Amino acid sequence: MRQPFPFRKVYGAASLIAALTLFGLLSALLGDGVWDALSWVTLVIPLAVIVWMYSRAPKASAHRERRL
Amino acid sequence: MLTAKKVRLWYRVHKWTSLICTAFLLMSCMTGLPLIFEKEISHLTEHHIRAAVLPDRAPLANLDDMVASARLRYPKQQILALAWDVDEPRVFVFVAPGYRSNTSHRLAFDAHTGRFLDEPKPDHNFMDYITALHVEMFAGLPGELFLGCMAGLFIISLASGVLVYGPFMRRLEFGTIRKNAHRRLRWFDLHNLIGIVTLSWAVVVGTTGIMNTLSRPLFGLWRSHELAQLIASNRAGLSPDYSNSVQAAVRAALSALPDMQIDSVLFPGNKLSTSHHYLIWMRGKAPVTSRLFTPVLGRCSDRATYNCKRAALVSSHSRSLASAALRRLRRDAAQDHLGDFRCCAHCGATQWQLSLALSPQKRPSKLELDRLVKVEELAARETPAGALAR
Repeated sequence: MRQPFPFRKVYGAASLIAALTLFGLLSALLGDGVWDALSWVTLVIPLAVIVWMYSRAPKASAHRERRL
Repeated sequence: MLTAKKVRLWYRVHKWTSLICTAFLLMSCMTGLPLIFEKEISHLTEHHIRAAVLPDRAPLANLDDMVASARLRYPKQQILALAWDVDEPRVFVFVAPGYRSNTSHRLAFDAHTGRFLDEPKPDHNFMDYITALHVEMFAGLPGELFLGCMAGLFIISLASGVLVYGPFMRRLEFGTIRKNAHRRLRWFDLHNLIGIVTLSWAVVVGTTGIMNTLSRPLFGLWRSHELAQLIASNRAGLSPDYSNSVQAAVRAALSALPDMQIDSVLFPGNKLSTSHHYLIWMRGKAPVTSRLFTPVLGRCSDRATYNCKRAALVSSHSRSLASAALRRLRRDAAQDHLGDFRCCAHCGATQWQLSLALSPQKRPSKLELDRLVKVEELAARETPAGALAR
């Protein structure tokens, strides 16, 4: 048998980020004050993740990646 | 889970929907970015006399006096509308050579003192071109609907992207960037990361975009059905009398809906109103309700009769309806994507798409697809251990 699709591994983090983004957009839309601040924090997360993941990745030729 | 064949199909859907809409998305992003800061830009570039600073509860000036003052300045022109400034206690009186005229200009009045402040330059500046490009590409309603179709393709491309993301990422950790691999594989990883991380944001931009492109036809529909019915039910003994007081109309609307505030008043004869009524757009006071618009009809010839009709619509939908009415009058279009929240982060993601898809080389994604097919075939034919021992 093939292993079942690792749904949580593939889509877990992405779903969490998606939920946070939606929360941020809604709090920016529907609230003021604290809600605005919350939206800034949650909406920065996707961008921070991109920067973090990119900078975390080992530099070129640090180790030999298996082909695809 | 998807078979390799289906993945191939969805991959193709993803590629072509993205390819078709990407140029228009790029245009929307580039024009959307300055529109986010439209208010700030116009504050910087436009000459602007501030309203007097008075406490919030200070009494408001009579609107009729403002209208009279505007009439005095432009005796041969028509008053189209009044609109309230969101940031400052100012009231704009919109004036045009005729009701059907495409050019209008506005006079700013102090909402408390009623003093004439200034007349901002006619709306033919840079930001208007940007807005027109963003909303309709200078092509009117067809342009708007076309951009709506592009937004539809964008949504399909996002959905298919999510579908093919799974098989590609199956063996990789979330956010893997293979920096030491070939340049194109690195781009592919970045594309996947940026795409999945900005997904819900992009979906929101796409769907609100579609809704906005439908606002004009929806508003037309509302006007020809609901508004027409409302007027028909009150038609008895109607004669146009434009001299009636707008102040009285506004006061009546406010007393009919005391927990709301006035957003704008379209004058009788305005092509977005009717020939016998003030169309008063009201909105709530709380952050949520301030985006829910309720039109109130004030009949000119009989100031005792006011019909209130609540537009029972959700936020961005009704916002679209209202802003369709006001777009000519207030440069409001930038606020349309989810009110205060306007964004264009998908720009990066779609550009990765473009660069990947246009390359003549055999793409890493193509290689990955081939590999997937191989794995699938093996799995189907061979013993499970053989297929997975990679």
